[in-house]
Amino acid sequence: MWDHLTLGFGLALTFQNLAIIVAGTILGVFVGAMPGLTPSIGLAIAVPFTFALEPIPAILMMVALYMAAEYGGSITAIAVGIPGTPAAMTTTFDGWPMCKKGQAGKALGVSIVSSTVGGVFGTLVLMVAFGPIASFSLTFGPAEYFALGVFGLSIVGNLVGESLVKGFISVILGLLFFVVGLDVLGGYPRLTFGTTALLDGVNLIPAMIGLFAISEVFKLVESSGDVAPRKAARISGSYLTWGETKGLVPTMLRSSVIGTIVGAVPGAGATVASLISWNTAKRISKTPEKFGTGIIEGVSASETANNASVGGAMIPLLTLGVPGSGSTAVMLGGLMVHGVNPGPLLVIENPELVYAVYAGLLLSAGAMLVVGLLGIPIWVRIITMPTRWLAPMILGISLVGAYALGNSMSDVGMATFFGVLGYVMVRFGFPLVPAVLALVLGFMVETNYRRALALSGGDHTTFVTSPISLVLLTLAVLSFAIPVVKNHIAPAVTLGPDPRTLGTGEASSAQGVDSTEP
Amino acid sequence: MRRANLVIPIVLGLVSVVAWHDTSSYPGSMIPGVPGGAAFPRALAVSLFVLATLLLVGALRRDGEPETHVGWKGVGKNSALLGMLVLFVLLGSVWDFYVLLYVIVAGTMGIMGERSKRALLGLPILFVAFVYVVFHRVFGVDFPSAYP
Repeated sequence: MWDHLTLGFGLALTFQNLAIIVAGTILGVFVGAMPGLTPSIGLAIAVPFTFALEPIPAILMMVALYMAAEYGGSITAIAVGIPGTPAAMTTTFDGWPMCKKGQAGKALGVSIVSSTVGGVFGTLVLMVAFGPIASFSLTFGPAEYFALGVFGLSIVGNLVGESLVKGFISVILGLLFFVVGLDVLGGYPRLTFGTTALLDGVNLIPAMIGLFAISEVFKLVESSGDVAPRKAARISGSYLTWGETKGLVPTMLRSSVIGTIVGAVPGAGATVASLISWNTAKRISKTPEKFGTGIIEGVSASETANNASVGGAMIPLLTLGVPGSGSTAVMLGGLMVHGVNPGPLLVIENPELVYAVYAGLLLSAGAMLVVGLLGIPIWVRIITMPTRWLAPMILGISLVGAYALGNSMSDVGMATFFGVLGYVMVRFGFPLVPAVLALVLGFMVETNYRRALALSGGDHTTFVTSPISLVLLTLAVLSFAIPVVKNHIAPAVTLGPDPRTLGTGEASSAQGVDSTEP
Repeated sequence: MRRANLVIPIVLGLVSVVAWHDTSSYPGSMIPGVPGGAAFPRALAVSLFVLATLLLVGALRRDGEPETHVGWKGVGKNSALLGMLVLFVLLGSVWDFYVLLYVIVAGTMGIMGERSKRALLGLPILFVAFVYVVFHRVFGVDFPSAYP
């Protein structure tokens, strides 16, 4: 492993690559700090910038941006009380109260140190886990890959969004858009409705730019004028001491483990990681009542976990080619544009890329520490940039990036279409991440399904005779069935009247939730 | 929002019907026992229809909810933005890309309430200059332009 790391550093430590890592870090902190921008949006906008780069610098920029964006959300969470990214929501629980107590400097210091530790830990786990998981996945055949794709989509449809039905509708829509174009195995057009422009199918990058970035612009335009301008608190007060940093070590280690594990689960991501980590820290603390009032352990638990999840999310992406989040889905799209196919063969076909990713993540954590510490006064001013300036620039870059992909206005049209679709979806409660992951994983699911049947002579039992496939498909079914049973069937099974309601005339709904939304 | 909760499942159901109908023209599989290209989209169409039905049933069961206020001002702003985007896409390959980009950035700023003439003039110009330098000069992307 150390040989690989040395090789990776040798590739990453060139002047150009270091400059790219720093540029990606600065862009990532900016994206993370601005409320309304997420790492997915930042990556979708940044991918066109990587077209002119070779694969290694391109992925270095993407990992640097991803790592820094997860940290950047804490700046606004602490200084303004608004999370810059969804994952930073947990950071506001203690970060904003600390700022109100005049300890913003300390909170920001805790945030950057914890983020760096989490980022490094997640990367080390990735380095250790990559080999065994990649070796294991070399035993996968078409049936196993089909089951893996179905499992990934079932988890994402379940975990993301407010409603199971809407989550799965989002998955189905993504898969339908994948179908558009020429059938890979048969060569005839599907769902093109006679349009030659759709014969090439849905172009992944413009679709992602539209779904993530342009849809966000529509949201910002809709709410413009309704939101008061952001005012950042003055950054002053005491800073993190060495003794306090040492005292945070147990919190950082525990949160790193939680963040890495949760980050590796498709659909879970940094938001779930930081929430679980904060709750765990509170539960095992000797003073749980202090959590939420402004303590450094609360900020550390959240920030360590959300940066550790970066390394965790890279595990399924690089070893299996299955993105674990919207951000890694965009990275997958970016890699595919450069002709790189993540998966178990990656270390055989492009070993230098894997090692460069290791080094890039570690260097990004270091760059993030420097940029974060030195740039705090600047970031705090930048986050007060009016949205009426920010949104048009996001739109402009999105349109330019969509055009730059293939020098074609049809890609711009596609990005616009998906922008409108993404806005409508979000407006009515349909999550976007499942649709994006389905668009990415559709090829894995359908093609391997048909290949598996071709190999087995049409025998569907091939999907259950393989133990790996059977386990993954069972988990997929359970991930759908358990919420349905929990939310619909279990509450309908009454065990007798609730003693609390006897004689009160209250409805028996006290016994369970009569939810009509799974 | 209540009406939307009823309309959206119906629209999704129609999408599934259209998708199913399109698959009827696909040729069958050349390999015995292996599904052809119609199988996957048909499975998706059926799944979408079932889920849309569940959504509709859920919406009907919640029909006692009060109607949510629709922000027509926001709808108006987004309609204006969409109109600009459609024009951008239609005219982008025949007019000057940089001019259209300036118009769309400045137009969006205006829609969002920017009234400062300096900002409306200066920021889009800076942005277009950034695009010209980075994308055209550094990355070598050729945008349609009225100028050689």
